[in-house]
Amino acid sequence: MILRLVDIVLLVLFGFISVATIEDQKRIELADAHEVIEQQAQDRRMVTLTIDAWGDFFIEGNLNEASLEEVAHYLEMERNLAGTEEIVHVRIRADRAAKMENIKWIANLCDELDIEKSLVVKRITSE
Amino acid sequence: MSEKGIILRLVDVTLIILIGFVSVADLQPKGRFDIPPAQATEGEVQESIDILLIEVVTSDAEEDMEYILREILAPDGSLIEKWVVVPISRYQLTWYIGTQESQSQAKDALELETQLIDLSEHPIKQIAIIPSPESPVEGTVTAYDYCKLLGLPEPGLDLSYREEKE
Repeated sequence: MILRLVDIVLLVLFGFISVATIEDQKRIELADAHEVIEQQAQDRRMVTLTIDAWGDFFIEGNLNEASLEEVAHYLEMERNLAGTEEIVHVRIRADRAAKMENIKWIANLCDELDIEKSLVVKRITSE
Repeated sequence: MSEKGIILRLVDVTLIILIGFVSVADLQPKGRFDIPPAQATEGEVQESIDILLIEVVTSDAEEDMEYILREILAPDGSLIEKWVVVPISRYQLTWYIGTQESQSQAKDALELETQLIDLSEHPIKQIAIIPSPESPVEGTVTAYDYCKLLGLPEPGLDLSYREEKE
């Protein structure tokens, strides 16, 4: 009987979730591209930075925007935590409208800290 | 309820949870570009080799601006609509055959593709994309994407940061 109730509760719950509008943490639109590397970077210490259309930075999907100093400090901390053995990889989720100036800033910071970086794009599947 | 029945119910519950997760998952084909180390192109152009420079440029002119309406999350969790003004990417192509310099311009991605197709008839040894700081990410990604799509050499990206150079 209890299991039956659990069933019903879960069904109702997922029913609500599926009809609800699930918003992305930051509503960004990725740039489209055909030719992309599909495999995941493995054996890496992954860090995700989001840049929205207005050039605001968000660390690891955090809803509060981070200052440039905070981003720099975070990457430096990740670099130190990884030590010399582990490779740190920054996934840059930039809105297609974000300025290249932001990407350049991150790229240079990554180079300084010896961190790999890649830009996340939306893959266009060509039929 | 027999033990067999309980196991079946648990399988049921597990499947419901699984289907729930699948239904809310944001399944979008995604990929990535590995960004090579930043390289400054200034002063490195050797006229004796073929090099194609693709500059992604923008202007402040009103007709060169695109207005995009975006929904963003307000601190209270509600959605608000906000306009973002984005400069439209234009492309300035410069290429060297020996010491001879040629130039052309592309006003959009389609024109860029056409011009790259024309240029790809010649063997291109080196390509560099030079995005202006004000240009949107999409412009650079498009230029990079077309180069790879047309089987041209892997483009280098000039990601040198102006403030650090000075």
